[in-house]
Amino acid sequence: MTVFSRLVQDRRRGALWWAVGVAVSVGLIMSLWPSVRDDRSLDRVVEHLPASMRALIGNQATIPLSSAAGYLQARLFSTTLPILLLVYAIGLGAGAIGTAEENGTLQLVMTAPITRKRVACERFAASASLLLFMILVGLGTTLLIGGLVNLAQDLSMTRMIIATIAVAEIALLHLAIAFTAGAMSGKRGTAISVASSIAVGGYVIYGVAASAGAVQFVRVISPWWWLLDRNLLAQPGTFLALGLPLLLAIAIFAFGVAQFDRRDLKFP
Amino acid sequence: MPAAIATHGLTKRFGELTAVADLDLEVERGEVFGFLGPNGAGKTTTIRMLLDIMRPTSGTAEVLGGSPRDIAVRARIGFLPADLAFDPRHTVRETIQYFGNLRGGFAADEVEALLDRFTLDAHRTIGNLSTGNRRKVGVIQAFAGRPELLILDEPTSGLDPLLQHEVLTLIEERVADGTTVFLSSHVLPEVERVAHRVAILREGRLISLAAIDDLRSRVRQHIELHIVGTPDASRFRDLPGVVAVEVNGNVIAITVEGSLDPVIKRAADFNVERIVSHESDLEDAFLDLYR
Repeated sequence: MTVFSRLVQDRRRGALWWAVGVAVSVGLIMSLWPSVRDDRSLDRVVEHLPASMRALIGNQATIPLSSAAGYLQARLFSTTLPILLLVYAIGLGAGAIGTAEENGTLQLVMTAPITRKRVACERFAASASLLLFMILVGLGTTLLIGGLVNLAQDLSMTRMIIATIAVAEIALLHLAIAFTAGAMSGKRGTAISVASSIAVGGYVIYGVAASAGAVQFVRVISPWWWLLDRNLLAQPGTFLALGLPLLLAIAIFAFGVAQFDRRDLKFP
Repeated sequence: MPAAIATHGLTKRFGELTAVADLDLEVERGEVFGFLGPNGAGKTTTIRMLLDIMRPTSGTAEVLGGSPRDIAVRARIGFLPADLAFDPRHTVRETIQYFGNLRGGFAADEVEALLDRFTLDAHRTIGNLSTGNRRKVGVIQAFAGRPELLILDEPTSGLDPLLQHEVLTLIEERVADGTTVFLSSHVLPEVERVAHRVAILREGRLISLAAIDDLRSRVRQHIELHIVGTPDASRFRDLPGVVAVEVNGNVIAITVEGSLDPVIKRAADFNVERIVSHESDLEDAFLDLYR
C-alpha cells in the first residue's frame, strides 16, 4: 500500500484545512437551529419563492422550513454540505491521476515494479479515504453540535446519518468522474472541467426542471434530483439517493482504471 | 542468456507522425549502449516503450528476456528520466525511500554511500533543491537498487562538470560489476567515454550502429605542418587516409581519416618547425551522420 499511504500523506495538510472549513461551516449552521426552531415567518418567506428556488434549497411543501428536517435540509444537506464535499471530491479525483501525470510526478512510479491497475486503485482508494474522512468530520460536527442544541428531540440521529450517506455518495460519484476523466486524459484541467460541468449542469437541470412542467422528465439525469427529490431527514431513503450514485461511482471508477491500463501515458 | 534489450520492428506513430520507425536493436549484457540523436529523434519515445509507459504501434520490445509490462522485469531496471519531477514537499530521504519501497526497499548502506558520494543533504526538501541537486536524487534512486539494467535518459544534464564526471565514473564502476547500461544522450564526449557501442537515431530511424572503436577509426583529424622552406603538398596527397591537403604560405593543412602514421612518416622528409593538431573527437563523425 505504498502508493496509497504516500498519497494520503501528500494530501494530509490540505485535508486538515478542509476539515476545519467543513467543521466551522457545519457547526455554524447547526448552532443556529435553536433560533430558527418554530419561527413560522421563515415558512411564509419560503412559500413565496419560485418552485425552482425551493427545489434548489431542498424545500418541500409538506416539510416546513421551521422544522428540523426542513431547516437542515435547506441549509446543510441540500446546499452547504454537498457543495463543500463536491468541490473537495473533484479536486481529489483530478489529483489522483490527472494532476500527477501532467506534472510528471507519476513517471517514476509507473516505471517501478507495480502494475498500472494497482497504482490507479491505490490512488483512488486513498482519495476516497480522504473524502470519507471529510464526511466523518461533517457528520461528527453535525452530531456533536446537534447534541448541544438538543436536536435529538426534533430529529433522529439515524436520519441524519442516512442523509449524510446520500451526500457522501454524490460526492464519491463526482470524485469517480474526475478520477476517470483524469485517468483517460492525463490532464488535471480536463478532469476538473468534466466533473465540475457535470456537477453544475446537474444542479441547473434540477433547478430548471422543477419549475418547467414540460421538461420535468430531464431531471432524471441529474444526480441532484436523486439526492434532493426526497428529504431524507423526514422521508424514507430511495434507491436513487442511496443506491444508484454508489453503483455508478463504482462503474465509472472501473472504467477509468481500464482506460488508464490500456493507453499511452503522457509525461512532460 | 537473452539480450538485455531486443527490439524487432519497433514502431510508434502518433497520428501522422512516426516517432520511431521499424527499430531493430540488440543490447548485449554488460555493455554500455549509447543511444544518440538530435532532439526529437525518437530517443525518449523508444525508452518509454522499453518501460511500458507507451505501447508500440507495431513491433516488439523485449527487456531482460521478458515484456516491459511484466513487473518482475521492471523490478530489475533502474531508470533515470530526462525530465525529472518529484513532489516538492518531501525530503530527499523520504523521496528515495518511497521509490525504494516501490522496489522492495533499497539497502540503507547503498543509499548512504550514494548520498555521501554526491554530497547531498538527505534532510533537505526537494522543493528547496537546485536543478542539479534534484538530478542527483534521480541518479541515486536509479542506482541504489543495483539493478541489472540501467536506462539513463540524458543522465548528466543540469550537472556541473565535476558531477558529470562522477556520474560517468559511477556508470563505469557498475559496468565493471556486470550491469548493462542503455545511455541516451546528445552529449557526445560522455558517450564516447563510457559507451562500447553507439546507435544513432534520426527522425525515428536507426541510421548507424557501430562500435565506438570503429567510429573512432572514421574520425577525421586535422593537422597543420609548419614547414621551413617551400612545402610540397603533392607528396601528401597520395598517402593512405589523406582526405584533403591545402597549402597556405608555408603551412600544409592535412585532413586524415584513420591513422596519422603515414603522414607523420612522410613529414620526416621535411624540415618541420611545428605541428598543430586540432583536437578531434567523435563529434565530427557523428555530425556527418546526423546531417
